[in-house]
Amino acid sequence: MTPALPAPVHYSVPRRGIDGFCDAWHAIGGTSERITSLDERADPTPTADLVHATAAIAQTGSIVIDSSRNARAASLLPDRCAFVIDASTIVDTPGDVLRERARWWPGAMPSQIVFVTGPSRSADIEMTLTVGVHGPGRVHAIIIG
Amino acid sequence: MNDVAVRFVTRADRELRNDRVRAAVRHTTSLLAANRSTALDGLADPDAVRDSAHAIRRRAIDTLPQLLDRWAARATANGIIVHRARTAADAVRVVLDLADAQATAGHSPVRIAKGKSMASEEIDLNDALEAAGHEVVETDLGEFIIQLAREKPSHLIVPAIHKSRFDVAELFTTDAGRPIEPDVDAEAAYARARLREAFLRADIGITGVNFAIAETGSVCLVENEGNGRMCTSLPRVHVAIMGMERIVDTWAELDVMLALLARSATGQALSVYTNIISGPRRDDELDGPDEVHVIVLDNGREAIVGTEFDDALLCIRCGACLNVCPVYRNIGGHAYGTVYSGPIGAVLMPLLRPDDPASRELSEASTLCGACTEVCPVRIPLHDLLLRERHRDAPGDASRLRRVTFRLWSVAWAHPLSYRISIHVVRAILRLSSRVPKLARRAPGWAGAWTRDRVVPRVRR
Repeated sequence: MTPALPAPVHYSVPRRGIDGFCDAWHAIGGTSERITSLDERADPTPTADLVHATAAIAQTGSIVIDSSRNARAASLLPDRCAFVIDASTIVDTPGDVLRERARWWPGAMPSQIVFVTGPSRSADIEMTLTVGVHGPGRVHAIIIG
Repeated sequence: MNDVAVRFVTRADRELRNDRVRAAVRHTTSLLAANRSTALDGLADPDAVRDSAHAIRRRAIDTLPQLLDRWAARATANGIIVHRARTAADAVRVVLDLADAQATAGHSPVRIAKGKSMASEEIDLNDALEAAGHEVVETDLGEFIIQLAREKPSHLIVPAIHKSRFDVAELFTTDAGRPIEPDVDAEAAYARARLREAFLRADIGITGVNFAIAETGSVCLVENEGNGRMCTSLPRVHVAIMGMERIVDTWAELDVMLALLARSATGQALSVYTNIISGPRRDDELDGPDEVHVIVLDNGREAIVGTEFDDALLCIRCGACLNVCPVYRNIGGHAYGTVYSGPIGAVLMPLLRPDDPASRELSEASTLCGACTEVCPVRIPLHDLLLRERHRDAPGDASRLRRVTFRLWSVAWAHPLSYRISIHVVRAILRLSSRVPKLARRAPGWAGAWTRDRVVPRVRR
């Protein structure tokens, strides 16, 4: 049996590149800034918890992180968290990461990969949205390039 | 069968009288259904994606043994310890043994932080762990509320759908020993602080699994709060429990499933945290568990594979069918009296527990309107399966009168003249009952059985 590869998932909203990512990221409650190098950051406060992104996804406003480059706790335990994204790693869809595994992780798989799509949230009580339930409630994307 | 059927009806009747819960369930399910519908528009061709998802899940069920073996071999090579559990008791035994190992290592009482997992509900894991003297804390906000209330989840995605913020404030106030305001942010803040401690002290983290991915021996777990990440990252031991059917072959297939799962469940493009776990902490990594165990749970599933009902195993537990079901929306999850509720529960429970009359009767808990089938992201023919279950369970001893009646009916409606005559007869009856209201409420003779629960509708001339 030769399983046919499932067709790629196409999205109806043409969000692409840095602007596309920022639109989607803001829509789900994130903040962002764009700089050309980390040295020029105006507010260096959250740098202690900088988390390096493997990739970012424009359609869904997701940031892909993995446990080989970052401590898992760094993007999980603090109230706020800043992700550093290399602009050249922003892709269109989740499929551009999931279907191109070898591009992003050429060697052994990291023990954990996480697609982070906004701040920690819950609507478990009366469907009322509340952020920062367990993970960070404020998430900031720093895009370099 | 009859006295059992009364039990579901009795429970449903009780829930129907609970206006507060009904309003809450209706409010939540309406929002979720609307969110789902908007979110699917984010896909260029949602129907094509659903077709693709159906094909992926169908192939997974058709090749389940090979797929599981392939996944298990890779997972084992990655350092994951794979356990196969045929029954609920087997699965519980595995977890108890792992907890005992922690106790022997000097961590007593063993502290367990648990993420949301329907598979663990299926095997009544918490009761078993508590009976063995271990401390278990549910860490999903909704599940934590349910645990404090000593109840069972009543919705796949929103387990505390039936609790108001006032109910929650009461539960949290008792738990805290100080007043917690009936304000959702205040309640979430309390849960954050209270459960943070549980995460940091936990010896074992237990979670469910949304998908196993054969290609890399990984498991995927989606969640919004971060409690799943905590349970899989902070404790020394992570134990994941997965239904044996929750597997896909490749990451490309996972892409298709993820495009539908969160959209169908909550209306998000992706859940906040989509975790893909491929093993315990590697030597060059900074943190993560030393041991990862995955328990592959059968518990009645394998027996369904290959039967006319095995489309039920395509389910990805998004809860979309609950939100649109006129039965679920009116009676909520508890009336079903089983782990899974709503249309998928009504289909699945009689299959998973064929020897349990209370589960078996649930195929009656449907109007067969087909709303569930319409929204199912993996295109399970839910109402069709319910009908087939009813066929299977229908007693084969229909009376001669009944058999003859139905035979005549089918012959009559197959011919235009007799069909038209029958319509005239019905119209005459309706006209008569409109004039004589007493007849509409209490018809004479055997027709009275029909009007016992119904009123003949009034017709205009």
